[in-house]
Amino acid sequence: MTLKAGDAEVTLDENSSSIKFSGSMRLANMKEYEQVADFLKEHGNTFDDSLVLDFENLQFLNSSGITTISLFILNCKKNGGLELTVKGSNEVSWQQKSLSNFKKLWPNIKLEMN
Amino acid sequence: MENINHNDDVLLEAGQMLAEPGRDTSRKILIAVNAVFIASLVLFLVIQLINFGTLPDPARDLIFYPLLILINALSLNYNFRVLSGKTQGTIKKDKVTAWASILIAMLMALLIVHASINTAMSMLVDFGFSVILLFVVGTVLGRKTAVIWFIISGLSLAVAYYNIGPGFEYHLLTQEEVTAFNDALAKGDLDAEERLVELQDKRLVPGPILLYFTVWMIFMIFAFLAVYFESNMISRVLNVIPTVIEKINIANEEKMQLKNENMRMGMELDVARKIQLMMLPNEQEFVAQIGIEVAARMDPASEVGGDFYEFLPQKDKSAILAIGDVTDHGLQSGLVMLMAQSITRATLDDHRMELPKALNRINTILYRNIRNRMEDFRNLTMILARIEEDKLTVCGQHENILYFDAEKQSCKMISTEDLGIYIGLIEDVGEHLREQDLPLNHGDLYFFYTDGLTEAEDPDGAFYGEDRLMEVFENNASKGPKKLLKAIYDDVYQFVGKREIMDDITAIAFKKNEKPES
Repeated sequence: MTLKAGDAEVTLDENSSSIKFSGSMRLANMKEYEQVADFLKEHGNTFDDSLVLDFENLQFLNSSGITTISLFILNCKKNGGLELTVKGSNEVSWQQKSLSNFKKLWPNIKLEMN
Repeated sequence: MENINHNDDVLLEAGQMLAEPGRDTSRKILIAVNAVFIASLVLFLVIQLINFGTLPDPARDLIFYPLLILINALSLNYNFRVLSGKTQGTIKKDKVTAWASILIAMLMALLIVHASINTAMSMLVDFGFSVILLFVVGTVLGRKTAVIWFIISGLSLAVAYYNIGPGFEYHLLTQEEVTAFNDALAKGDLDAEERLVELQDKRLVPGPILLYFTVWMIFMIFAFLAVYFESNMISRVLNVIPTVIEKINIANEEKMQLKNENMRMGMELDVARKIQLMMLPNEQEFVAQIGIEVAARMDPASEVGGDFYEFLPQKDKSAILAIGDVTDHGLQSGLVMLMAQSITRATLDDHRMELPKALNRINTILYRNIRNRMEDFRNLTMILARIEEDKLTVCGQHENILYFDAEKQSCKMISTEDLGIYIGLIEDVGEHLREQDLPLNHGDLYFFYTDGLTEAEDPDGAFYGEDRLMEVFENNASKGPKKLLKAIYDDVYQFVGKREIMDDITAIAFKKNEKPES
């Protein structure tokens, strides 16, 4: 299952229980990010009680995109019961700052930086 | 009211409705031409063989006629399959079949007049085919070709007239005279035989009435089928016209709605841009009592991005500086920017408060307004800073701060990553906010910017980036805030080229005055 969002792709990977992001995501506004929010909402519960959000191959995410992911994380935090892991890369500049913000929003997140 | 968002292009649909009967008509007429042609050629061969026992020129006709029949059969097959939906037609094949069939028909129309065994009768009868063909050519190949055929067939008629001579009169025999002549011929009368040879020589061979009857019947069928399909097309076109007009009206209405919507959005963006620029500090306000020089600039994107900066000199001789970037674009982002500016001022103007406490207060008020009142999810990254006599205190997570150390003549990038988090996204960010003291000596310069600067794209979509920014900063920081800003903006626009800027580009820089000479 793959969602194309501009120059980026969001893929549901059954083998690693993860939702993988790749490419460069710079949709124009929050309204355009609704498709990504819906994808996360729809498939976030596929693997029962654990989920990996894998950003390693996502070269760029703009502020509307970061808001979209933040809101998803805050929603997971509110609902509880989900073990969320966020994977990222120290090589990609936006991830250093933004992924640790996700952990600030919900300290239960497991953050794996490669 | 029609739904403005439906995706069907009503004008395209209307166009197709009008074109559809016409497209079918040409094809149907062509099929009729092919079918009648094949039938009449076969009939002609049969009549020839029955009447004369042989073809006029067997060597030629045994190749010529089957070839014409074959071409017509191919065209018939193709067009029939397209019409019945069994195959997809192509424009090229449509053209080739139409032209081949019509050219053959034209050739035959000329031949039957000029290669006839009885020129007089060919002018009286066979030329009728040229007349009928005029109509068929017009429908299948268009007006220009019809004009050309009109000229060709007119010339053909003139040539036939010239060949037979203006003084020629066509005399008919009574049936009794014909019988007498035929009897004499049967008896082997020399005069009669001589007369027949002369008739052949003058191309006035008598023909049976059945032949002319058959020829006219074929012409009639030809004309009838063409008229039948043509008038069918006209009535079908007339039938769809009211629907087509309705669709054109819908399209017109949609166009007007779209125009109004565009105008409304344009006005909204105009308002947003005005709000955003209106609330920025005047340059006169940049005069602080602590001996600093300030320069700032904001270039809003065409779809305004909600950037802001603030500079507030305080009674205690300090000054508050802020810079921020609201997510998303448009009027709502402008409003959030306006609120951020107002709350910052309400919280800190003439009211000394710890920066983390102030920023958390700004956060909470913004969160409540954005979520509960605007029902929106916009948030922002922002830095609050206090400039004092000998230090700069910063709080909040935003882009890196660039610092020029005058004493060491070196430049540094200061991360704000650990000083905060998004403002307005959650109700309380107190635990994430920290302040940091930075040195402020004579000649030092600090530069703050929003991501519109580093994420400005060149025509290939590459980012301007921090490295390039740092390079320009290093080369120009010692020249003071104004010249530095000019150098950076000039460089960004050179990088961007003809591409439109997608996000606001905002920067504010200040420099502590040089040590006074003592």
